[in-house]
Amino acid sequence: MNTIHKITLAAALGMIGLLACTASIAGAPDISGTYKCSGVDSGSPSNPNFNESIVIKKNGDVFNIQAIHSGDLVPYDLGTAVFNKDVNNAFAYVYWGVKDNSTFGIELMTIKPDGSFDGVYLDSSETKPSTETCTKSS
Amino acid sequence: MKATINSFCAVTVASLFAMAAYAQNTSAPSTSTPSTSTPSTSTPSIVGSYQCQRIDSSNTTTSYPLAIKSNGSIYTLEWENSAGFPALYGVGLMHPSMNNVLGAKFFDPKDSSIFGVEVFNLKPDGSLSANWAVQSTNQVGSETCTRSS
Repeated sequence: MNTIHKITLAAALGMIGLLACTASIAGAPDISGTYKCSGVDSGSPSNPNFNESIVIKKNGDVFNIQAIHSGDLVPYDLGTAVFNKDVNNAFAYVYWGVKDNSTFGIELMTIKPDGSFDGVYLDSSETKPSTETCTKSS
Repeated sequence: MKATINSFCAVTVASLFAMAAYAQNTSAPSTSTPSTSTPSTSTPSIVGSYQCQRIDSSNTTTSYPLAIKSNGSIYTLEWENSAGFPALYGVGLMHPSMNNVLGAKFFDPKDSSIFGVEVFNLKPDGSLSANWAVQSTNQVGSETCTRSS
């Protein structure tokens, strides 16, 4: 096999493999699952620490989110999350209250290498961002 | 299956190295599939005025001027319609560890049932690429913006 043929073969293998590997990493990761979260709410200075669970389910191109207070069975906030096609280690979701229609916020989560989330959020009633971290529980 | 894929990727890498060696190409390799965002000290500020092309999930394109302003760590966004009136308002945040990604909620000031979420990626050249979804749908749209000031 002469050098030209070797180059052609290597190029062909490379391009086929590159396409295959690209396909395996393209798109948003599936973040579906239940996460245990803890945060510090800037809008509640007298009692800022909180715990909650968020349940994330993939729905087409988006993810549906339910936020549930510790000890509760029904969600108090619902949300819709999207990724940017060029960024697979962060996502944002808009959330709104199930019973309290004054709740309307935005949260931006970064995804750490271990799969946990580190987020900042802002509720419509607040003027300073708050923080939250989440770890997958199931 | 996973092992097969890993082997395939290893062959790919080896093939690309071999190709590079044979070609003796000294140019820097290109990275065509950026997927992980990392903070960069050279990233420009996202604050500014943009001209945007917003494409919905039905592939309908609408052009909007977009203004992004900051109030400390909170960002406000305003898309204008062709008559110069606000078509959408938004409020966004950046994560302290990621200065090129803005997550924002947006809403139609004339129809409270229309609201959604958008994730912007600020590129090194100052342009924006974004994906968004209205809360009531499960499909995403896209948006590209070039800086106008």
